[in-house]
Amino acid sequence: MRQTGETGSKVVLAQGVDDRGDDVRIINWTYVYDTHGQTLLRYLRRFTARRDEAEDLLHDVFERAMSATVVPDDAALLPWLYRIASNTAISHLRRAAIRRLLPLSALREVVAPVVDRDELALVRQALRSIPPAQAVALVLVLHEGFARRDAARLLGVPEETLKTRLARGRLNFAGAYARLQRGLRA
Amino acid sequence: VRHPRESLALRAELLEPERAQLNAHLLACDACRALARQLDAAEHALAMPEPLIEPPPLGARRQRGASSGLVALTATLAVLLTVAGAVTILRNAQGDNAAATPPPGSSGIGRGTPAPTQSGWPARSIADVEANLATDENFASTLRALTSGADADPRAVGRTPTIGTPLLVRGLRPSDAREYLVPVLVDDRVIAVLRVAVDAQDRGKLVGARGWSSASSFPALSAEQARARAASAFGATTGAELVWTLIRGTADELSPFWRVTHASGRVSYLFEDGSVHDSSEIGAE
Repeated sequence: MRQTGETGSKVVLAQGVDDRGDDVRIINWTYVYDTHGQTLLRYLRRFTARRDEAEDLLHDVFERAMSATVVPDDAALLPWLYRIASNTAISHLRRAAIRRLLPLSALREVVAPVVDRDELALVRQALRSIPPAQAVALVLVLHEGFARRDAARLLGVPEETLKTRLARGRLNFAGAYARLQRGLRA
Repeated sequence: VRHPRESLALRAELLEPERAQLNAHLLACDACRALARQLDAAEHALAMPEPLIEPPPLGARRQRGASSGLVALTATLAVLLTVAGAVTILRNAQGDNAAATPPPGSSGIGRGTPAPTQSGWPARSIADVEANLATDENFASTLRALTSGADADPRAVGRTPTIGTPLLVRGLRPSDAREYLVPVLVDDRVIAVLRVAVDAQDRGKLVGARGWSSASSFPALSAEQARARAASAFGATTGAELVWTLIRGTADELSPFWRVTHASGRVSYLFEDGSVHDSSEIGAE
């Protein structure tokens, strides 16, 4: 690679042009992970029953990010990582929903699950019981503090779609959370 | 015109006159007032912050189902970053094995850390574990990590946790060694669980820990409760014991489950999430 100058960025260690004339950038993933890993891990933790599952998802997020052919500039990096994390969370929630239905690989549920009385665990459990896209929309806006427009852009959906997901998600979550608080299955 | 339920879900964004119409409806409708209270409670709950969690080192991958892709990718990046002078990732480039080998100066505590060596202490019985656990080289640092530091448990900060009675957990498969899980309590509530692995010479070593917030005791269900649940699914039971094996996303060394035997000769399992399964579904024995 032929280096083409200073990057002025903590994220991009070097940039230049390769033998074929394509632009090349070397990303400092250690810095990216140290800077944003904790934020994303807390976000992902909302969707998992256990901390180690969230850690697994965080690694999936960085695996995908590190495989990307185009990485955004510093300012757009965190929303981009949130987008990957949101898609990863949705996939995880869907897989979990399928596992609950499958008889073998993760097993047919015969009786109601143990109800977790810990408040945060109840929130996570209720989120896992509603449609994944609604859960992600709720957490992005009501927990992570994204403006509705930014959350819609991040998820790649129209603002009106996000609004609908939020409204339905609020109703579904409230119902599931209330049932769990009463000791019932979500 | 929106249904009142939908209006309630959107009420923060409603404009006049729809807002006034909704308020008028709320005055007259008990069900919608109850739903409004439910939505308020849910929104409050959703806003509760997740505790700070320290991420594992980049590349120090999960213990189960490791992705060779990430390992290879991390190794490639390590080379690139070494050239650029950022060498911290190089240590992590060994992937899963790196996670199993604590770096110098660390306590060595974590999920899936290596099996104990001859350097452990006698652990033939629960009494042995009660007598010797405090002498383990990792014991003090593990408790310290719970009560102070970056990833301390808020329930334990500034407190002196007590150690509960160890639980013997049998390995379900022949390759699964037996272990002891030891509850850590604050105010009679279990906040964490320590894992003592036992080797073939009956020597134990503290090799792992997990936080616990699912119930005030560990495990969440007693043997009697486990038997009652299993009985409701598969009929009368004759006994229950705690066992562990690796089932991705469901069970591991620190997430044991109940093995329940039934009067009919059948065997069922009750997992941490409360689900009950026939042994034929697991294929572990």
